[in-house]
Amino acid sequence: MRAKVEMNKQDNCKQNLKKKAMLFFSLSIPLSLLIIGSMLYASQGQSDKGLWVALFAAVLLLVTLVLGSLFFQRSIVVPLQELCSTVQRISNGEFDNPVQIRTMDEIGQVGESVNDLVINVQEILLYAWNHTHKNFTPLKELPADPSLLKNEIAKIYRENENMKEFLLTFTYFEVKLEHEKMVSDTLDDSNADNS
Amino acid sequence: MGKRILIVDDSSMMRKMIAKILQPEGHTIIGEAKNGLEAIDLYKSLQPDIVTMDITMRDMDGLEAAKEIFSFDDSAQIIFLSNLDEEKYREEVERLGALGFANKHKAKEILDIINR
Repeated sequence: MRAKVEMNKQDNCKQNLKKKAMLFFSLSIPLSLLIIGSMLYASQGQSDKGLWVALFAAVLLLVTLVLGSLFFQRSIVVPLQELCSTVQRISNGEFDNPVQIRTMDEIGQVGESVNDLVINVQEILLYAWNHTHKNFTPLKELPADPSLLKNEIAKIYRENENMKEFLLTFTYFEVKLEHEKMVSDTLDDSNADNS
Repeated sequence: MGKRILIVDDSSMMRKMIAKILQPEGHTIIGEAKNGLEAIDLYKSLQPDIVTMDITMRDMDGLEAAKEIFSFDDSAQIIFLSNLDEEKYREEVERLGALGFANKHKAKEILDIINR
């Protein structure tokens, strides 16, 4: 069994925000019901006890709502805004500013996954850069001697094969790479269904 | 005979590609790490035969991680893989005591180094 130290796998997705949201609702809903119940009791006019209970529950509910709002602002709104602005920069090709991971809740894990995605995209681009550089260098100075020319062409061929191996590692959306061609995954499947 | 290998690279695609090269040759991938810190922890717990180590990684780079690993296990077998300039880093890698240096974009060279 392989030990993987990866924080962004779907099956390891932490649910810290979800638990805190459940805690918020599990406090605020019963308190609201308690207030309504106490007010109804108090409206019977038999004692002030219901009013005092309603007042106490209302204070607790207010505290819960204030804390909930602060939590919402600090743990969801602000990190989402930071994530949004970083992802916009990344979509413009600026890979030098990774997402800052402050907590490992659901939003932190999205940030971690975005960083992993950027690293992979950068790897592809650096590969392409290296590939063009390695191929153009011999092309700039093609030797006249046919045996030397054959060597240079063989080098370019090997570089291309390395690049193809790398690109075959990916799984593409609705496209597959096979037998030197790029074919549609979905069109092939629908043709197979029709036949 | 197949070796037990720990792959260290911040790119999940590179880790997958390296595994794809090594596994058909009978080697077993016993762990994967995405930075130097995780590499050190996994090295201590898994005791791999060989480590393939990327150089540029966040949190801790491969050279720092290798120095740390060599400090508690001077017989560690580390192969550096990088897309950085080979001439510039090969000397430093050899000075550290690494098993070898291979270009990431010619990852099959790892097999030659392992078989040496």
